[in-house]
Amino acid sequence: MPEQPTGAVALTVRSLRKNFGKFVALDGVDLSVRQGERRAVIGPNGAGKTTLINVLGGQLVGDSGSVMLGTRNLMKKYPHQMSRLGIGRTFQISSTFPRMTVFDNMLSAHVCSASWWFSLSAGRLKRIKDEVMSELEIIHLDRMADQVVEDISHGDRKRLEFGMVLATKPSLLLLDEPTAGMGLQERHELIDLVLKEVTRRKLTLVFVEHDIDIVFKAAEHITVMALGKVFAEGKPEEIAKHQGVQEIYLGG
Amino acid sequence: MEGVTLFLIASGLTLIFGVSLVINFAHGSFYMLGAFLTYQLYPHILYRTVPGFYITIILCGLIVAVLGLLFEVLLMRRVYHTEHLMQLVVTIAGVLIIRDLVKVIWGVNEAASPVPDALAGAVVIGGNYIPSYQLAMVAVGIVVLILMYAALNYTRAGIILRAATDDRGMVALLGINQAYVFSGVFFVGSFLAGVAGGLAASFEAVDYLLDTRVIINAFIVVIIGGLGSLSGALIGAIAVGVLKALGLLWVPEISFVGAYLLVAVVLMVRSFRRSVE
Amino acid sequence: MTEANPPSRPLDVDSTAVNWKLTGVLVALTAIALFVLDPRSVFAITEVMIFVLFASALNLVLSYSGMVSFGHGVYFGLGAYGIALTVARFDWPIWAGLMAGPVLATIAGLVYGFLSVQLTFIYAGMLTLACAEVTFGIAHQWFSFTGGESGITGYVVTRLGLSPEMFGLTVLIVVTVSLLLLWRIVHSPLGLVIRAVGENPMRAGAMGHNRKTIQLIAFTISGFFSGVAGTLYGVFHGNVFPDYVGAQFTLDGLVMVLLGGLYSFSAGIYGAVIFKLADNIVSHYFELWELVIGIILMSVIILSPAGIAGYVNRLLEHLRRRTHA
Repeated sequence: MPEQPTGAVALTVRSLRKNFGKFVALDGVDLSVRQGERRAVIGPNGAGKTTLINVLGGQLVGDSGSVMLGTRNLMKKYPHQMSRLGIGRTFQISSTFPRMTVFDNMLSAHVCSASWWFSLSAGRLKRIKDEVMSELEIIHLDRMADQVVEDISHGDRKRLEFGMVLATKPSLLLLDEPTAGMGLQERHELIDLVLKEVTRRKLTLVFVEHDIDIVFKAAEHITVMALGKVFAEGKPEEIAKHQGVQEIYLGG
Repeated sequence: MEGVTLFLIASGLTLIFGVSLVINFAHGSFYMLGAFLTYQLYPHILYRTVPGFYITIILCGLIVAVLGLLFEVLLMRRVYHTEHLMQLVVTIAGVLIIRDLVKVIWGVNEAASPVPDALAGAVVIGGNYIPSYQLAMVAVGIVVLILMYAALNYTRAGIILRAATDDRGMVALLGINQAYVFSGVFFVGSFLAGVAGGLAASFEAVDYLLDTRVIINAFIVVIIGGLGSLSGALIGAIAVGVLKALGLLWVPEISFVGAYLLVAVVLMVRSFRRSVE
Repeated sequence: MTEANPPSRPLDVDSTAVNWKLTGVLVALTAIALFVLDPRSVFAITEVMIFVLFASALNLVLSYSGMVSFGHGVYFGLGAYGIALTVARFDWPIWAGLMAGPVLATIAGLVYGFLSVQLTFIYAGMLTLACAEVTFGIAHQWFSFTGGESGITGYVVTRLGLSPEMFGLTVLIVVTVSLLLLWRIVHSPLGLVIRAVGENPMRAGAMGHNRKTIQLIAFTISGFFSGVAGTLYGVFHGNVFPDYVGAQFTLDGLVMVLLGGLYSFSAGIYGAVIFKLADNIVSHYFELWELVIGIILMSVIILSPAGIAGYVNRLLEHLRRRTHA
């Protein structure tokens, strides 16, 4: 039984709009996610899911509307500011440091989010070595620590990216298609890992996902988007029964 | 009059960048080769006549175009998949190699090619004496402009080239071999550089340092006009030509710095416009 | 792909320490060479050391910060102009002039860097070129202040009046300390953040670091060390000319780094040594030395993008495995 979300509102999006030239990507999106909630955002291609995640992560700037994290306005903030405010995200195509080793990737994540990132002391790096290794253990990459990321598999890279985001100690986690391009078994392993860590660290999770099995397994609430708007919202069982949603997915 | 050669060389540079995203430092070297080849060949081809002059220039343009093609096929093609920096280095290495080869073949002294006899005079227009040669060059510039416009808009190859500038992926989707497009654009770009060099041979001191002088000017033109834009190259060439003329007229010291300040300002304005979007 | 983008050496937290043994041996050998070789060689070694520092400073920008600079001669040359102008025009004492060189270069790095990081890759590179040419123009045209084309000469006694050997030793000490500092920076938390931004600004951004800020930090640091090298060069020759901020020094620096091999700390060291050796030896016997450099450069890029450092690292790796086995 998934827990009922009870905490305060973590993320509030009000009438968010974003145009690319004449194309309306977000046409007044409203969204409210409670603390500790696990929210899936689904919808057909071009519904605006990734645009929404990119606005929340700061990679894109919304044209109008508001995005609030708790009581803090996030509109027009840069990605690095979003990160400092506790928003961690992964990208649809996993984004890591390809020329570094797995270990250095994780180390970078630690250092980037540390308050002493400008330090010149190598001792600082040595001192967090064990911590970095244990972070790698969590995502089952400790044995590959010395491998260069360019050489590891797609799935491993996705897992590494997720681990790196965790290492920045976010309070809100945004995952853009965390299981895209993976095999069936690998997908479920990854989402189990995500659920375990999200529960353990009491994180708020917002994720975009196409695999409907994964969505129903992981989400407490589902937001269905279509044509840049929120089309429907509710618990998984409500969405499953929703007439319109079935039409979008089946009838198009 | 520099404006015409500047436009020719800049349009080649911008075409190559637009399609292959390579900033070709060796482009100035191809220009220099065009100039030296004209100096070398003109005496053997209806020397001092106008038709001989045009034949020489076009012939030299073609020779340089073939060299540009070889440069692309033998060297550049091996580094497209690597980072931009590596591509730049190959073109810089090309500059060094061509410069020393030019030194070996033509020495370090200045070479000059004569203006055809028929164009040595001047024409009176509105009370001013305008050298015929300058008019002939403007004519060449206009002809090339029209030819390029026509080629880009009405020929299949031209349309593919424009498509490639807009969206590289699309060309692949159309089932066109991207390698041909890249080679083609180096061929055309080098041809333009060779022709420009041939024209310049008659009014500019040609020596082995011509390459850097001209490539820097071409960069200024291309950046002011916008990388990858042909009409931009035209506007940039006119802007730089006017700026240089004005600068040389009023404050000679500032003309050089002025052109670069303009480049810096143009780049900064672009960046701020982009970050506002 | 792997071959084209040679992996940066694993950081391996335990090996961030300086290899004191190797450093000591190299420094000692150089010092001995300064005192036993003929004056011509001492002159050449001193010059090589100065360029090792310049190339290593440029390497910080090229290999680690993900930027390109087509105008690094500026920061080198301003080091020399810094001391020349303050001493010759404002009558500053020599020691203050020696400080002024690197400071002027740092300020230029900060200002031009600030402008350049607003743009990305090739546009940023073009802006560094434009800034460099503007600086060159000023140095070249402002006759009453910079001395124009004839530069400023005689503002200090050549080599500060030291014997060639003692000056060489001074340069050796300054360059060694500077390289150790650069090593410290590259292998520190800050260095890791610079590398992260250089390799993937989007990922680094999503983890709390603004590309512009970090690249500006790297560029300014590089400007400082280039300025140190330039100050040494100015004092070495006792003069300064507009060419010091010009395109030739920029190009030489770029060639050195790429010859040495990107993504390796030692790129600047190998590159400068080989480049200057070729300059001194090849150009002595063979006029076409640019041709030689061009061909070497082309072969390095096409056959082994990791450069000389890549070869040496592979060789060392090979030797280490054999001794372990």
